[in-house]
Amino acid sequence: MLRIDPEYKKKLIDPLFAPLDLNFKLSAGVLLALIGWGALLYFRQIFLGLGVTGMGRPVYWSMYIVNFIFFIGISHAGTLISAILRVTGAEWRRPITRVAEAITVFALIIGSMQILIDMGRIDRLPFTVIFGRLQSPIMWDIISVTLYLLGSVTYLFLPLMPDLAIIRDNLPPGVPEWRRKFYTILSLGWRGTKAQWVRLEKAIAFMAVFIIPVAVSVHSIISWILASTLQPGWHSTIFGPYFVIGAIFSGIGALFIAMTAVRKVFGLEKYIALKQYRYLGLLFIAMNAIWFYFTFAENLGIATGQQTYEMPILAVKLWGEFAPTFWLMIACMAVAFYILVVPPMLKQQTAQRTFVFQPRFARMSAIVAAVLVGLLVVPNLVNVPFLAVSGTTVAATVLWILLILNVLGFLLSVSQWLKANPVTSIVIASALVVVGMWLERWNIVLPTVTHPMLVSSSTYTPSLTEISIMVASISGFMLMFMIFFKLFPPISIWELAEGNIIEQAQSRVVIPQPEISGD
Amino acid sequence: MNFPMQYPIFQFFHWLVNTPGVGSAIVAFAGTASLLFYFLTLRSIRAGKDERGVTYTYPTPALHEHSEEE
Repeated sequence: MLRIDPEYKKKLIDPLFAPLDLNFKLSAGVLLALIGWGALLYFRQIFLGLGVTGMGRPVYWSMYIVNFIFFIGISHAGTLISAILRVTGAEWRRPITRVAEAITVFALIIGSMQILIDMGRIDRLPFTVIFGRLQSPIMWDIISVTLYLLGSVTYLFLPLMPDLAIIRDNLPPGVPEWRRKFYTILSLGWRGTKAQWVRLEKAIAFMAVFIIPVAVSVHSIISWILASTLQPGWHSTIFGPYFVIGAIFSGIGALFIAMTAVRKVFGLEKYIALKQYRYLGLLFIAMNAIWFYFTFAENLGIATGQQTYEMPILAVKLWGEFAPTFWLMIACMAVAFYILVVPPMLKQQTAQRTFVFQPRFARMSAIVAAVLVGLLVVPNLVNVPFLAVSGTTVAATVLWILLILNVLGFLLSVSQWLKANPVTSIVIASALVVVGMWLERWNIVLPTVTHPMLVSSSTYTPSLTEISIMVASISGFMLMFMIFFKLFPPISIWELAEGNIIEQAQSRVVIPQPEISGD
Repeated sequence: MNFPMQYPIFQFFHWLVNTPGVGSAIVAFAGTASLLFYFLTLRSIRAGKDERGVTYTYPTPALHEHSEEE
């Protein structure tokens, strides 16, 4: 029988057997309803064909492909980050690896489903396998995603085995028989002998090393599906690393949101502490900066090349029909960068002395920003004579500059609050990054498919079917997450215990004072 | 300069990447090999339960940094 610390039992095992509360039931009900609605529209799409989507010649890749790239990117949250942290021996990883690994598996399942949905005629699926040729990047993608999914499930399961045995041996009284059997079967006879631990550690170490190149290959190959064509805007050698960085970036964002949800629901503030936010936040900042570098480099090549077939792609993003999504993406990432970097550096005394850091300034700049947005938007919607002047190019430029300055002012004025609430501010930054990364996928796929080589231009607007299926996909992802953490502990119990022992041992080590040199 | 297709190695590569079904055969091979490897790994870990002696709820470096034979 495996013993467990009573505190771990109370925090990590007992909640798994608590009756379902109203919040859980309500959330699950809403998510199930959204999934049901999406499923209904998907079956309608099967019967009526892809005509029910916004796709049509020449737009054959759209929201489903955007979602596919986005979800596979999110999947890099887990296995890759968890594997890198394990390999590098980062002790602070222990409370967050389970959440990270779960995200990977669920995001991969949902991401892979997008391809099946995009196919329209699902009965044609076997053809991709029967006639699959190795020269096709789509075939490479099937290989790498298959390996990644199988590897990720195993990588999730291996560290779960000892925890399942701990649960099996410490079940609260009155547990239903099916759950007793469930944990007994899944723990695969784990007893925690020395031989088992040695083999498990070896297997985890091997998987951690193996999964890193597989994860990198997955998003590289997804980028090559686009980059290996001669389509304008896609035929770029930078796409592989650009996609991998973007995937890790969005993955960390998703991980922050998920680990905060788990922390809040299970009351795990003691385990998922500020240390985890701080260290992972540093990685997040680095990824943000690298993402900006790649985005600049990708567009720089098109801008300086000035090729007639490629320039329209850049033009529609910078000032054309895709400008709103492009600049919203940039704004999301820039604001996220600000939230992550500036408030932690703010000194208390400076904040109290300077007017721009005061809450009064926040209210003022928010009101002015709202007025400016009104002046910019209203002339485009209705014909108001005295507002017509704001529709002119000079006035619009001035209004945009004032708006940007106001947003900056607003960010400065809320810095004190952001500094005082580090977890909330990181979650806000993460949400911005996740939205920004979805927009990035949109801005990569759609401008090119609407402006291909042989067609001057086309438009695309997602239909209700596509939007509903996307909402259902996100709901499915969240529901899987909820159910998983109702059955399995959100933190690896044995890894936490091991980390605790290592920490205690380290705290007993006496660190010598630095040697004094000179007089 | 023409592609050196007269060499059997390039003929083989040409066959490898252009033949329908070869890609799926590789998917099947990779998938089966992974599953077999994971199954054997799990079976090996499970087999360790038969060892007599003490059991541990969690390891420490002192436990897993020693080889099995010690």
